[in-house]
Amino acid sequence: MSSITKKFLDSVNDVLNSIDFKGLECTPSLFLIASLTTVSITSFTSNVLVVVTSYISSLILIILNEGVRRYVKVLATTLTYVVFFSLVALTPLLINNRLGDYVLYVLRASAAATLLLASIKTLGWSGLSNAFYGVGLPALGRFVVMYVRMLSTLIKDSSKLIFCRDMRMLRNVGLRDMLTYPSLVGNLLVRGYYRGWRTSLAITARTMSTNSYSNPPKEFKLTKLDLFMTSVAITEVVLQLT
Amino acid sequence: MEVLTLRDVWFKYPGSGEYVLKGINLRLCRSELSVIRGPNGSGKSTLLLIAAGLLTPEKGDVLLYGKPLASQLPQARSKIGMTFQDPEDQFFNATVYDEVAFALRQLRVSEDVVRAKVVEIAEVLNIKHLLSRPPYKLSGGEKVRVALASILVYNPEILLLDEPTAYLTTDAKSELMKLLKDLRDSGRTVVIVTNDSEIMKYHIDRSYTLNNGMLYEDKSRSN
Repeated sequence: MSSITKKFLDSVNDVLNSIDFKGLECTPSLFLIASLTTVSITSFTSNVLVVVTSYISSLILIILNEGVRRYVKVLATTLTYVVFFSLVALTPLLINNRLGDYVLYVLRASAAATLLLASIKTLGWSGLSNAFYGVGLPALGRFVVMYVRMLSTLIKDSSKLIFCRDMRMLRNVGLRDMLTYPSLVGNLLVRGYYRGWRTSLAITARTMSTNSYSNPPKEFKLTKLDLFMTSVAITEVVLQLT
Repeated sequence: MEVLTLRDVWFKYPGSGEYVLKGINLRLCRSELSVIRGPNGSGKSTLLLIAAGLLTPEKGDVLLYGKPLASQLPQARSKIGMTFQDPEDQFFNATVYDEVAFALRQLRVSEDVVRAKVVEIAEVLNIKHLLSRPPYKLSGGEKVRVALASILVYNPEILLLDEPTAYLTTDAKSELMKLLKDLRDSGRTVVIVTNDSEIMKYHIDRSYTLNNGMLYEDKSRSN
């Protein structure tokens, strides 16, 4: 039981850690808008050139982040998922000999997914949060930061509690072993309550005005990445319209 | 000069029948380093929360420069800096930089000034290399230093530190104590709440023991 739980927690942690906090230097809100525009166009296009542009853009972004090997891994993963799910959902296309439509669907879905992943990787958690602030969604921005912070703490706490329980299980008694794990939930709730209380006190202790704490003002600075992503978005809009 | 005064402070948590603090009297003066010791659960952390104006006593007064602290909040918070027993509790920002910059941003100073001050304090506390990292992924000692930086950055007059040496090695401990001594010499009031008996070997001005909700000054250890 504990090993399954531990594996689950580890995999959640891996997902969390696969995206850095600090992404590459860019103006997050502009980059997010440009990349979401590109992803949206790619998702619904029937123009092969748009799909190719998205593949090339995601390749460049992932190479800037982690190199070609990572790109191959991301592409292979998204392709596997897209092919698997499309086989179930798009069987009628295959039955009706519309292989061309099916291939285009797979290509555009995997291109859009790869580009979305590459964009989030480029922004990083903190960039993603700032992007939401920048586009006027502060609650979503704060949620991203708190989610990443709290989830990580929750995982750490859960692992610690599981180890503590395992340490005191001196012999295997089957079902009774497992019955100790639901108590973990109660423990986490109580810990979460007190941690939340202390964090709110700590925020209050450093809040010196009657205004609630505010988002740091971000300077608008156009970087090469912003220019790149904006020109990709404009190119795709033009390709789609012509 | 008396900076912070607790006069006959009584406190109990809601739903609890027993008082955690019973008639506490404490006078904190400028340029003084005080240590409050006591067994676990004796109310040391609660005492600091009350002194920082984060909890309201049931009876008694908390005075900052002779005036009720509650009436001077929240502006008075710029004069008081507090770190928590588990430094991770006070972290909620995405990066160490944002964590340290948080208080300064409340004071509405320009981002250039914020950056300069954050880098300056990061250099003093040797955390400059951690600025872009998420605070909860640091080691215990690093977390303590980040928590300290997050309050020292706005230069408070009173420092209330809850177990600041808990995760530190002996070397790091003596470095921290040297820093606190320098702050005391520059006119700050420093209060350390701890269980760490090793701290008593450093030069401290006043020593108190909190036991059973009551505070006693240890005259033999006070200078």
